[in-house]
Amino acid sequence: MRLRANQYIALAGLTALETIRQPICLILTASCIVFIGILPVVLTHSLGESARLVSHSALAFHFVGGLILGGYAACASLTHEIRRGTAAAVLSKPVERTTFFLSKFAGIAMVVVLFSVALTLASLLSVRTVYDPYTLDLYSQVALLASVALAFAAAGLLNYTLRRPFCSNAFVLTLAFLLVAFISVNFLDAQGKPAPFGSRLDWDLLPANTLVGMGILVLAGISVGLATRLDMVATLTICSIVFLLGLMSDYLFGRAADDNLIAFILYYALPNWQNFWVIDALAEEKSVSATYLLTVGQYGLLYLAGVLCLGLLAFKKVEVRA
Amino acid sequence: MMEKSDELVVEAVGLTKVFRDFWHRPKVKALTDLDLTVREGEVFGLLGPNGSGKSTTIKLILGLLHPTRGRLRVLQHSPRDVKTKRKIGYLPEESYLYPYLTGQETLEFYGKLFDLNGRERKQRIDQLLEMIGLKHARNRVVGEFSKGMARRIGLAQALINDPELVILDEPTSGLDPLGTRQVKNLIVDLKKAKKTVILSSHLLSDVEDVCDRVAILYGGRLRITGSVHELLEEQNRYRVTLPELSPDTLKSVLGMLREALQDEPDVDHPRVSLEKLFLEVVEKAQTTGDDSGVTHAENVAEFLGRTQEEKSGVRLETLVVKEPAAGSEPSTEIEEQTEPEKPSDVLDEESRKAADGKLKDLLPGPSDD
Repeated sequence: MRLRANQYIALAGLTALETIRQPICLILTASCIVFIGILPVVLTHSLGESARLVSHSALAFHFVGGLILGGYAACASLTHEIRRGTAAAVLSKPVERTTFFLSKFAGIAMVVVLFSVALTLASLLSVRTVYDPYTLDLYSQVALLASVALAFAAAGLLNYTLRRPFCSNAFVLTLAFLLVAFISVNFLDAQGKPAPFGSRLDWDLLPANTLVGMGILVLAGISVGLATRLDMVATLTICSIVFLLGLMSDYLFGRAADDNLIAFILYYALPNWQNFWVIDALAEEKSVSATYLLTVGQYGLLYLAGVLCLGLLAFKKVEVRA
Repeated sequence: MMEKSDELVVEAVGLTKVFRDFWHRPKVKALTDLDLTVREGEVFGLLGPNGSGKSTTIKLILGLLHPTRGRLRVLQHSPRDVKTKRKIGYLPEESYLYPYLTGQETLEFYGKLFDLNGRERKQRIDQLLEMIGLKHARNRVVGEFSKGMARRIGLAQALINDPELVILDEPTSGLDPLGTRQVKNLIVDLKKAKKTVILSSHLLSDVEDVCDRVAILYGGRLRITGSVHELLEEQNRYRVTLPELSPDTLKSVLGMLREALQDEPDVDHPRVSLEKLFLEVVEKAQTTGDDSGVTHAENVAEFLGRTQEEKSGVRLETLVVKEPAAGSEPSTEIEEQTEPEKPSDVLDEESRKAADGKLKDLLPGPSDD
């Protein structure tokens, strides 16, 4: 039991480390943060709707970026490993396939959660920038963009002086600097004077981002399951189809679910992303209740458990040929 | 010749493997009715051209593939038994390392999979890095390594658990002659530590140098198996090596042979192997302090060189049974083991000695005149 737990931690840690050391992870995270950071400037002339547009766009970046990251990380850590032989090297050690598969998901989930945290902080800061219509809170925006720039500079310096890996350091430092920027800026008002913490934040974005984060985890689970048998293109294609169908699930299948068996099956088999997308409710000045958060959380966890069980069954039978 | 235990480490009977396509139709028959045994403590060579079934056999032994038909036991258990894998070390043929991890992190990771505690893991990693000559590159990411360096770190990961059965798939691929010699020495040292080694290689000279027994596969079928010595020795021919002779002496020796054989013997000057010449040149260059990027340690990692007896506190010693003098009882004594025997020319020396003995009987002795 102890051996299995240690193996699980080692494999999950390795998967997370390998994922954040890949340039695509850093590029995706940094570009999503920067895009969210410049949204207030792009959407300045929107007749007082800036905050709504920024929050919508930031959540969309969060969802789509998470989909790509989860899908790519799943392929990199499973499909590539099976193809290039690292899976064979690990499975030739006393490692159960169940441990291998579940730890791979855990490692990817760790990175996805970090990505989600970074984008949530970025969304909150970005929406704070347009808290007052027609004026920008530059403290908030500069702090957001500077945290990325500083993280890259510090990681570059570490790489130059201590030969530390650039990508993983830049990823971790981005998150750390973003957190520092978030805390320090939120003790200030728009003029840079001390203010109660978070008085200018739209805290309703927090549950909205949390739900999107859950949705991304479910997508990552689907990607990991598919990656046991399919290559990257097929996995990402199917994930994109599931994403699109799941977004339109209520419209495409929900209306006919009572009369049509196929529509019924598809409606309940596909993940319904609308459950995780509450921005429309927020736009109507409704807040997300804790009960709703818990209910969707349960839905996400059950769906994830089902998807991982199917993935595990598929992986148990896989022959590692490479 | 080392005495072998009858305990079978690998036992395959009628092993067949058919790969199927997406629709589950048979696509390739990779192995057909393979009967194979590997005994404890021997170095066993798997030979064959590409696609002959060597790697498939190894992956079946490791439980990575499932046999279509036949029976396979590894260390008396099913190859899919996870506990069995604690005793196995495997060096895969192709790239099998996490490119974004450093050499040190790679070994740390594999050590953790065997639940080695922190202190033991560190000791073993230090010893292994020293052994493979990559101590200076421990903090470089593996993705930046040359093929030879990656092979070395792969070898270290295969040995980190001090395995009973070591499976090496093309271990010398990508290594320079020095590295190749080092790997061959390592295999001999592993054998001395009573470990079983299965070696798959295209480099026949490597296999010949270190293996006790070989199996040659072709088209997924076992074509021949046996001891290297028996398979390679030409029982009906002899080779004689003489010191430098004057032309007159050589003429008389050849005349004598011609007369005895009623045939013309082949005579030429012996040649050193290119490997030997290369190693001599490099060793000479190393004395000037130049380095090629990889340091070459001569000693095997301490934890690998120990036998089970030593691990339980007994020193590495050899029991020598002395030939009894006429009228006396056979005596036994313990003596410390000397330098590990090195692979090159081991078999040649053995066969030469045997041939020498027989030749002395055939050729006329020195003249009493």
